[in-house]
Amino acid sequence: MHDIDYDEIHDEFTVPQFMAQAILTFRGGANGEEPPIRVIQGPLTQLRQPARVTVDPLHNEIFVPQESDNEILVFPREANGNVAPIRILKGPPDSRGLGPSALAVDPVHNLLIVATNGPRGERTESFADNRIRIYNRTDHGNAKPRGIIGGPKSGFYELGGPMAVHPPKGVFFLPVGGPGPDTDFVGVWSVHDNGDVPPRWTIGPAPGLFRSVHGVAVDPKSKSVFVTDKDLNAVMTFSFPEIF
Amino acid sequence: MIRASRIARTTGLLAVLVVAALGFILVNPGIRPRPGSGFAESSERRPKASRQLVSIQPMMPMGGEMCEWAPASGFARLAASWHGVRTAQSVSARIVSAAADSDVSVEISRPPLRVISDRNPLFSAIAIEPESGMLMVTDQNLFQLLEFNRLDNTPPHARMTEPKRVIGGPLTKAEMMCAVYIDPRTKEVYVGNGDTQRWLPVFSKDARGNVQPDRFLKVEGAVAGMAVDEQRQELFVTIEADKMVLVYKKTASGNDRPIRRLAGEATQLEGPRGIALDTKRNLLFVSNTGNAHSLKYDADITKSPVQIPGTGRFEPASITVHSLDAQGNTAPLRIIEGPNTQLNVPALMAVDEERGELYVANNTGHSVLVFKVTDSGDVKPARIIKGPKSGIKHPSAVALDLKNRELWVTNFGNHTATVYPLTANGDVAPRRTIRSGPADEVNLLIGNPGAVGYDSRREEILVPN
Repeated sequence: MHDIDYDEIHDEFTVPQFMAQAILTFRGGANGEEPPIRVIQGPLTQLRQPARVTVDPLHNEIFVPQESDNEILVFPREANGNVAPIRILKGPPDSRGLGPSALAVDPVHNLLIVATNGPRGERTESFADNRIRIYNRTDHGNAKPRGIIGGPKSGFYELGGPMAVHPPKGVFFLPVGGPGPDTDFVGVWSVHDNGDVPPRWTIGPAPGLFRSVHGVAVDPKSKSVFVTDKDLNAVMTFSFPEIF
Repeated sequence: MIRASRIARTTGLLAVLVVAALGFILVNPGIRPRPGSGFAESSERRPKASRQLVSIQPMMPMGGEMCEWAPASGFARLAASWHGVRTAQSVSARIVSAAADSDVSVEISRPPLRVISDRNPLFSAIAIEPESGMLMVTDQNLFQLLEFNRLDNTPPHARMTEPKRVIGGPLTKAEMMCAVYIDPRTKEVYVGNGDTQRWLPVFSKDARGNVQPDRFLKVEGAVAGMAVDEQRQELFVTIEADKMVLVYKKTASGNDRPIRRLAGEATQLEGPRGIALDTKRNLLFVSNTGNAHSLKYDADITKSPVQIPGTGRFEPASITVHSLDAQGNTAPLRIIEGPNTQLNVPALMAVDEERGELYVANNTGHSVLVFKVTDSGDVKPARIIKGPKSGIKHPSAVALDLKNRELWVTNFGNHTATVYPLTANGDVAPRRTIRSGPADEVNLLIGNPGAVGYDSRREEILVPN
């Protein structure tokens, strides 16, 4: 499992199943060897190696980025079984224009925030391929993004970890891998940012703080940000009252 | 009365929803754009009352069954969740604006409030060399290779047993170590990296600390299981994502290519992990989780395949039995599969060629299953080691010490490697236990956490692994 998204409204959480090309939804309190309440899987789904998933609980949709297929599949939240996507946001053929590795939905501002990474495993000095592309939530086909964030100031050395969004403030939290030890950080950008924009805030980089920052979630109630680090096998909780 | 009650509840619910929705707008002025702030400036994107009222639509007719509260009041619930941001709204909005205008990031340098992590090694793969008593265990938490003596036994009140030797660090090319093998002659240690790296490093018996491997092989995929045929000097590895068994020369290094591949739909390899060899009978056993998808290969299966979209499926866990020489898209000789087998996410395996038995670390079944090497179909295991006395919890690997007639098990679920008589059956207490942490310390079961979620209803952090 490479991602998880909790839907507070319906008290469910959803995970991608990479090996069996499936999206699984469990009841919120699931425990032990409990079956999912819904499974999206089959030829109509077009799922291939799903690694990330985002649920929009207000508009009842599930978004699945498919990095290798240069597309984002959108399913009804309550889809179950062999169900076709209701729309597909797809980049141009033979282009890394989309290549989405992670995404988040801002249901208040009706935006889709998409991380697009360079070639997998290529940690070069170039930031050219690493971008955040912001689309309208309902965009489909080869749509033009409303905004593109990226460049030296943005510091997107390596993207791809699951991100989080906080709609009341119109900000998103992005785990960013750095070029070497002690260079990873979590950055916060506005959903309205565009161009080579630095993050509004960062957690890190700092010596000994992160080794391989990867996932982010937020709890507005406690004004906290949760961050996972794959190398440290750890989950860290940061107080972040400035943002909430 | 029931109908009247429903009407009253429905009317009340609508009122609550409307009040909550309008209340959210009124008490959260900060989500509206601040002129000139450059922040939240898209006025047509802000929340509107109409959108909130639309969320009420799922309400059932008054004479029908009542809806669940949660979906119908979805926006109100989110509004309540976000309500905590209101008090700091104006102050933090100014900070945001300042940060944006100055084109400089504000770095939050404070340490984390809390850190959830396991400070102890989590044992994963295991190998035993009986002549020297050398016991190698991989640690998937701290990314180390640990050597113990086969007679080590952690006293009940001791915190842990110190390993004799530790290999680990960025120079080692070893990270999520899923498989380990000891060369019985040279005592070299082979390590299979799963998921995050594609190196297969080999360390000398004297290697220690953060050292470069004596040699390494770049494998065409992330290794899940590994076995060696010493007679033919061949190295077998399973590649779970690509549903393949790759066979290399045992001495392969660098970019050496496999000498043969077992791959394709006919093989019925479906999430292959463990691998074990029976050279006496010329058999190859592969454990399969059952997480399946179809792959597209090139004509002679010489390149890594690509997944075919929409072919994913959940098949029963299985053990496929192949000829040791099998290659290409070749069907298995037979398959052990079905509810009687009790297979449930089977992991690494070992074969006792003399007794003709196959040992399976049955991870999610919290057991070690023992089959006859001649078994086929939906068969019951000949023996099952399982239960509270056994201490077996999420076993990830087994190893056989045929000289001393012992079975080793690594338990990913409880910081232990446990050893049993080779003929153990049922809920048998281990002869000895090597612990990597205090007996009463909870194992967090966090491994390679690529994401995190937050369950705001239960105030719980969700960690997929």
